[in-house]
Amino acid sequence: MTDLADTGKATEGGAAGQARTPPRAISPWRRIASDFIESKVAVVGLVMLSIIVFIALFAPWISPQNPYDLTQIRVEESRLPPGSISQTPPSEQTVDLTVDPAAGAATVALDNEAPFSAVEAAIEVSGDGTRVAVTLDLEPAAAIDSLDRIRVDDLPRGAELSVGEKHSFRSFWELQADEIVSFEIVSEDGFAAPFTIEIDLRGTSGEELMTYWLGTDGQGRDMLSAIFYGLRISLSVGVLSGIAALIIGMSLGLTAAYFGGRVETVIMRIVDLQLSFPAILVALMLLAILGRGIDKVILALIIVQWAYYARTARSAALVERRKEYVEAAHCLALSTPRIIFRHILPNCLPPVIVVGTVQVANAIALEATLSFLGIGMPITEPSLGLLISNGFDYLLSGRYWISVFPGVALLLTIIAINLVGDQLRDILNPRLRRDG
Amino acid sequence: MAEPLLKVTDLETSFFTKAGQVRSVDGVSFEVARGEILGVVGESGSGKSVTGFSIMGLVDPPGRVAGGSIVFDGQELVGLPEEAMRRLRGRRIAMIFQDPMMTLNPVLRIDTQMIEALKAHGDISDEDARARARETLGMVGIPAPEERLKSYPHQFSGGMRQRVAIAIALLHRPDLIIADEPTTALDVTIQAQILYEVQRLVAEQNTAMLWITHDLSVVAGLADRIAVMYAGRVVETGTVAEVIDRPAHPYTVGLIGSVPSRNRRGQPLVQIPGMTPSPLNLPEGCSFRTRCPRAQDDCVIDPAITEPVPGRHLRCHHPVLGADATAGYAEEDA
Amino acid sequence: MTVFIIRRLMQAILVMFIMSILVFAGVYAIGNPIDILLAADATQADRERAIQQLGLDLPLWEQYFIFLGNLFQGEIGRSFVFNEPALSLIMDRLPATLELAAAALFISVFVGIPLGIWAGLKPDSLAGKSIMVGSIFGFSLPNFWQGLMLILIFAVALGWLPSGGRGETAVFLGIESSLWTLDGWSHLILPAINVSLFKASLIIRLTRASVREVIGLDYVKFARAKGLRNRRVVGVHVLKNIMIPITTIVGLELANVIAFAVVTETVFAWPGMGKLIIDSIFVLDRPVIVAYLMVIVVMFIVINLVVDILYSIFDPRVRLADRGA
Repeated sequence: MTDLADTGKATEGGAAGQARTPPRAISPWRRIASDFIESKVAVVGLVMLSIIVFIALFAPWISPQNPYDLTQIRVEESRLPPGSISQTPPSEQTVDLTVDPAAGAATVALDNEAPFSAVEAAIEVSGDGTRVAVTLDLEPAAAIDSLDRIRVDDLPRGAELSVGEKHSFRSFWELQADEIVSFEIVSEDGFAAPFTIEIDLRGTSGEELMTYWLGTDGQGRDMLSAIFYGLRISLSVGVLSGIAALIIGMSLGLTAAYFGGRVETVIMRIVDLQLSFPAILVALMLLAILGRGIDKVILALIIVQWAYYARTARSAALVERRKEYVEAAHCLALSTPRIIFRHILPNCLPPVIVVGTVQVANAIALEATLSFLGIGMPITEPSLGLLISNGFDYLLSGRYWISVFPGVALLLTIIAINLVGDQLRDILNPRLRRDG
Repeated sequence: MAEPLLKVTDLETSFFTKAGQVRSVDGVSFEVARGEILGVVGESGSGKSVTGFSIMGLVDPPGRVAGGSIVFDGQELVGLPEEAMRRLRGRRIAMIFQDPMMTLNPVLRIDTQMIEALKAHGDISDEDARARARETLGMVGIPAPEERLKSYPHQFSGGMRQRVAIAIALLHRPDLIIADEPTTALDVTIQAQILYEVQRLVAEQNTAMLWITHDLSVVAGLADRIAVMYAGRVVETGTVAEVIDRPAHPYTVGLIGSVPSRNRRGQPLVQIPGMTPSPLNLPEGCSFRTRCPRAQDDCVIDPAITEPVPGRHLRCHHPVLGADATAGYAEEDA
Repeated sequence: MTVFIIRRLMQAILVMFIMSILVFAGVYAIGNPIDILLAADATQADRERAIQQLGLDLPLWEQYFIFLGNLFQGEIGRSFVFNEPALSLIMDRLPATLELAAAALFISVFVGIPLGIWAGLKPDSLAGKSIMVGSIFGFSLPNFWQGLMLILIFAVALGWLPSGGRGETAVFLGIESSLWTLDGWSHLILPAINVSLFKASLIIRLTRASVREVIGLDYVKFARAKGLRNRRVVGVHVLKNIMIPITTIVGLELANVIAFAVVTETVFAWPGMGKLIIDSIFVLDRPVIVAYLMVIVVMFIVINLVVDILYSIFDPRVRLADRGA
């Protein structure tokens, strides 16, 4: 006896048959988390996913612009390449310059306060009455970056300007910025009566409003904002339909597994039938019959997805049902719903979660495809798919950013979900579990 | 004495896993002479199968032979290029596995699997190969070999499948057959038949054999010599009579003592206390030290291999020589 | 073996019957057949005439038999838009879609399987890892986006290939197809790659997983122990065992090929069934939709039948087990 006791105590490492303190209990969630972190790729995916979810949740607050507020977009800023800068809209005004050659005076009337808040004019009539020299003192309303259009119209018959160029067939003269400050009106026949000329001015203050980091689309919407909003819709539709499908599918799957017999056969036959058709065709047909609209899209997505959850839940439940804790629960006379939902369900969750992550990615991709084809989300709630579709035509003319960037956003979302899902699957797969 | 056919010296095979280096084979030495049957006995995890695979060069990554030497018919196998090794496999050294259902490819016919083995080592015509296959099937006692050739593995019973595996091993009349627990998966009666066949064939062909098993009773009737393995090392070798009737290493003593036999009917079973150490974490010195009733302080040092009698090897500081088989083991578990 | 085929055939016919009942129920019983089979702007007189003609005032089961009879004669209504029998419209476009499907199948099998085997044999090599990463892109990226990228890179940026449409056709062995012309291939290659990417990725992943699973099994070790060359071990022992799950996937995914063809045909303006159906959904040309549904159902059933038969060829256990059952 003592021999063995001594032997036991002399142990270094290796089991010796003596009792040791039991290992600390680690909750399954903690273990999942620590296993998850082992793969760097999966962690990258998780980070990406968190950023995307964050963007989707807070899109209205973090977007530079609300792309669906019509007052914020301007058509003249459409199809701008990435990195373009939006400037304050130009202001236009017409200055009516009334010249009284006899009196040698001029009066000015402005129809607008911008780009110039005040204009003072002084004229000098030449000795022979054929030339009127005009000097304008222009008081800008705000700092002017450039005057990009200066036109003088309504000259009296036969009169010409000493500067600028007259349009080839229309009546106005086009001037440069430095020319408008001082110029001459020349008329060989002289000037009989007071006359009024129109000076059209257009300028921008050149203030930078925002940068279109990813360019603008065909209507002038900022792509970055459109993508944020689009992510929001794509993600919500995907997750919503996924969760609903999960609840429905899982309930049916568990029911089928628990009750067996007729119930199981009927349910599983429907599942098999549904799964033998590709999702996109089923969705296509459903939308063809049901019509368009956001609720119908979600309904179609749910119908397409529930079968995967049902099948997975049923397989898992079949395995669990044979286990002893279910018998034990029976012996305790627990009610059936309680057994199903509180005992079996939690143990079926891992494979269902794994299916769930992949399914959400699929749902998002499917919705994008449907929107791309034009039978998905309506224009009022554009998802990424619709954005891509809108940009398709511009692709062939080289304006790639309208389609490509929403596409990249879609991509990153799907890849992130798949990376996380892959790692979850490896962790939760009992066959690959390395214990001890 | 003539040069041994197979001489293994200080063989080390480890698996380099993320959890650490698993020393499955940690310094194994033994010899097999021509026509001799050596039984390698040990528990699961003792490294006996890995020893067999190491000789064949079939250790899968992340494992590999990390040291030592294997000399077969004068040729060093460790470090031999793959193509040279391939030429030896099946032709001069053959192997029989444990579960014949898993050994034979379920989707290929028996004749395909036999003929390809013949064609891999030289040009032989289809008819000759088929004839040879048929002949060998007959040799192992399979009736109606011609029809059987066209069948699939799942159409055979367990015992028949193992006979087929043995036939495949014999196709090239190899010098050495390594049998890795070939009868473990079979019924006892079939086991007896297979043992009989093997004995007969080996005697006829003068084939040497390395019979790996955990079952002492199997080797007792079959082998000429026995090597006992524990935790990756050979702890004792000798003739069958020596090892079984007069075991010297305390582990062997315990092993033999724990076989229930009619001689001790009514008495409590003898056990070796404790469990086999994990190969990730072997005890320093003699690996049996932690469970050995005869262990003393100097067992912390690795025991060298001694040869008290020619052909008898021991790896122990305090072997049991001449004592009663169960000395030192308590009858009740401690 | 013949018993096996006959039994599968009977099952297939049964399924077809069930599907015809389902479609009939969907169109005639649940939906309003008038709306579905008649243009939206039909007058009251037209309606009444149609009701008479289509026998919609007869009891439901009689209608079903008429429906079935019509089906066999290939009559499923006329397209509103083209004013031609819906079925003939679809059949006209079928060859283009089949071309696409065939080319895609070819690419996905003969590129996917070798890549998958490579990734399975050398999983930790650079090639192995990049193949796996590439395959993730292949099946997670939405099909239409892959098409867009293909057009962007090869048609717009590099200008090597046309961005849409079908090429010239030629007749060979009595079949007219654009597979026989070089111009046809230049138009076919991008959409075929687009359709095949998803499938090829699945095949790569499945092949790799199967190879990893099989390569550790005893019979592979035993084959090596016999001294067989690695070429044979992989090419025969491993390959034959992994063909079973692969065939299943290839067969089942064939259905997906037809489905993705719908998207690809839209992106590449390929004149096949898929484009027709999208256009029809837009304009609510319902007879065409119904006809498409029936054609698809028949195709799927045939495909499943063929897969079952191939399955039994590859796995003798299935074939022989059936004899006893």
